[in-house]
Amino acid sequence: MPEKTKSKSLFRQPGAKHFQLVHRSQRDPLIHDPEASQHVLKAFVRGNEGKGKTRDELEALIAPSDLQATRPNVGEASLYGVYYDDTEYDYMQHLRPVGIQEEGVDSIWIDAPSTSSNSKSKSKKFSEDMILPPSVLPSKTELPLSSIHAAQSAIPPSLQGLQPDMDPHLRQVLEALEDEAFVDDDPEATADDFFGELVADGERDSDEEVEFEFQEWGVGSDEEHGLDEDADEDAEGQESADWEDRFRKFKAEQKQKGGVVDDGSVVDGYSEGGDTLSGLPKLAVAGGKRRRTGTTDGSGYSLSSSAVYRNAGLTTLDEQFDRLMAKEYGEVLDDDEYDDGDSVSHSSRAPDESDESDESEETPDLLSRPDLQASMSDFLDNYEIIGGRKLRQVMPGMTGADKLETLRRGMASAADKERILAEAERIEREDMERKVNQNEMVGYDEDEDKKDRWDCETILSTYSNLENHPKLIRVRDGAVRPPRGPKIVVDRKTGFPSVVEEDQKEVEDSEDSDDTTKRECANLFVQGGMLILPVKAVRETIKRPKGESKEDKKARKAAVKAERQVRRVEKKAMKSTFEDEKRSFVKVLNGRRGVEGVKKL
Amino acid sequence: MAYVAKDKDYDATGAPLPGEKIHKIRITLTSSNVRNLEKFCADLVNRANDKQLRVKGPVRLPTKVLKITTRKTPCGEGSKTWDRYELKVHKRLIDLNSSSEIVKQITSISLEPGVEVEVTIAA
Repeated sequence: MPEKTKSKSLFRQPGAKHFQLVHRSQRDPLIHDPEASQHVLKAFVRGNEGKGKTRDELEALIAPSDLQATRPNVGEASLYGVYYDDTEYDYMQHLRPVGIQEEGVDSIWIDAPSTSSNSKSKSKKFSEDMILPPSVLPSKTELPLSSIHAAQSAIPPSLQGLQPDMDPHLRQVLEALEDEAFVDDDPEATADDFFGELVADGERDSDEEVEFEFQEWGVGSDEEHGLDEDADEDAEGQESADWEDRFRKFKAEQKQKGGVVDDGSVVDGYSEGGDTLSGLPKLAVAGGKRRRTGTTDGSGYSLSSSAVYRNAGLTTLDEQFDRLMAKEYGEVLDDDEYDDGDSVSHSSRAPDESDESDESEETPDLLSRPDLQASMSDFLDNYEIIGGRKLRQVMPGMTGADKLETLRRGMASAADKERILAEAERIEREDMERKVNQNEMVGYDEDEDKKDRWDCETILSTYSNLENHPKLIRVRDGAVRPPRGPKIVVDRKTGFPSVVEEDQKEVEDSEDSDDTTKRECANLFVQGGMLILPVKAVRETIKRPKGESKEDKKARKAAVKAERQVRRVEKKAMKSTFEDEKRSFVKVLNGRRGVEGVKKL
Repeated sequence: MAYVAKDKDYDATGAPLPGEKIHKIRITLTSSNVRNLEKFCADLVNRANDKQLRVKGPVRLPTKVLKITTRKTPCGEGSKTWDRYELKVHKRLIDLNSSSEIVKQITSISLEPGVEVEVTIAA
């Protein structure tokens, strides 16, 4: 073999045992044992270790005919490191046994001095493998699945199913357990170790005799249908051990009575199972033959819930129904049936008495706070609701002026208030003194109050009538009047220019006014928010007349040039004005709306 | 100077105590949740140190990152976007020299969720 490869880690060598820490199996009997650990070490085979085959497995793969080798020691050489095919040539002939002195050969065996440290550690290796304590390993035996299913089911399997041959004592006990009448809520009784007493003697074998007589209801017995099982009367207590005999007797009795055979064993109106509901009557089938095989016997009636055994849900419904009926017809409820706290307390009274209402207008005191009335009146007087939602305290003061007064007084701080009030008083006093000194009438000036207070615009408006609407007062001196000609007016809102035709009237008016006001200029000016630009009345295209001389042509060209220049200037002016206006307009708009963007007109 | 045995499994001469067979145990902890893993590791090491065992403290092997890179789309259409999912597997080793008693106590440790524990007992 070539040089020794790196030795494997101790834990990866074939002899190592691997375990996984897992939860204990549910089928382990110790799963519910509080002392046993929750986790166990489960052995598993790691990686490649499980892949190898043992010799037996390999031999099983090879056909038996091939196993028969000619020589017995085929493969022996491979034990000693010679891995060539042994079937034809025997390599063992070249290998000598160690330690055995053969004749004619002088040989001794000398161990090579071992330098590796592995040898030392290996000497510590124990022959015995580590045995884990069994508590750590999973249990050898597992519970069968059937027992687990049995444990999980509500009824133990020994009690499940139809068991006609069940021990009658056991059957009676089971029925008693289901029966409500046996429930004893006496606190004294439950304090005792009741069940401890019961099970103290251990389980009863099926063959054991019991002291008390087994009494079965209704099977040919005359005793009362009481709950008294330990009947003193020995009577016709049919203690036939075989259920079949009893059944036969029962059947015979039924035939005697000639009654309808029901599904439940109904005898004397009392069924053995404890529910006293009778079955629904069966429909007669012609010829006595069941035509429809899949259906149950007899009744053509639909399954109504009244025929179903009362379970928890149906019992609740029954109670609710009873309560409803009581409410409607004023019947007294049974003592057994309790009231839940939520329902309105109803007393047993006749319907005609219900008119006397004990429902009072006011809520009982427990439900309202003692200061409810006070706070309500306070609210109604002093507070108001704005916009359906906001609550606001009402400002004292009937009219607007009064409210303003209260506001003013409230806003003034205490110190300021005093100062202002002092100041006001002082002024009043001085005024009074002055008036007194100057012998003026002190006090209320009637004429002054009666006189109407007018301003100039109001006066001007009084001159208007149907024919005459006086214009705004104009400044006389230094006023620059716009030149005559069609005015282009830029609309303030839309920004579109429009030509305003000067009326004859306006022309006359303008002519009537002062000469100084008539001044022709090409200045821009703003008047009353309107831009007025001087513009030529009519723009005539300069035509080229036929047969013009050189001077004429020069003159015409010059005229055209001049015209164009003027036009350019006008355009520029117009544009810049437009831009300025737009900018200011946008600014105003943004100021109003915040910087959200220009609203497109 | 007298040689005092470090752990109770050996007596003064260094030979193992009779009756107390010590074995080399390797506990391998694997998890994708580092926090729980480290907590459990620390717990184990502390317990082992309390019992004066020779512990080779948690050897952290390189984290293995299992990556899956898939197209996001169920069909082939769209810009070629890829999802890169990965799962990081952390592995820790703890070597102990202990007797079988200790192994019993390992099973009673409350396991952290998500940590897989393997115990290897050397040959």
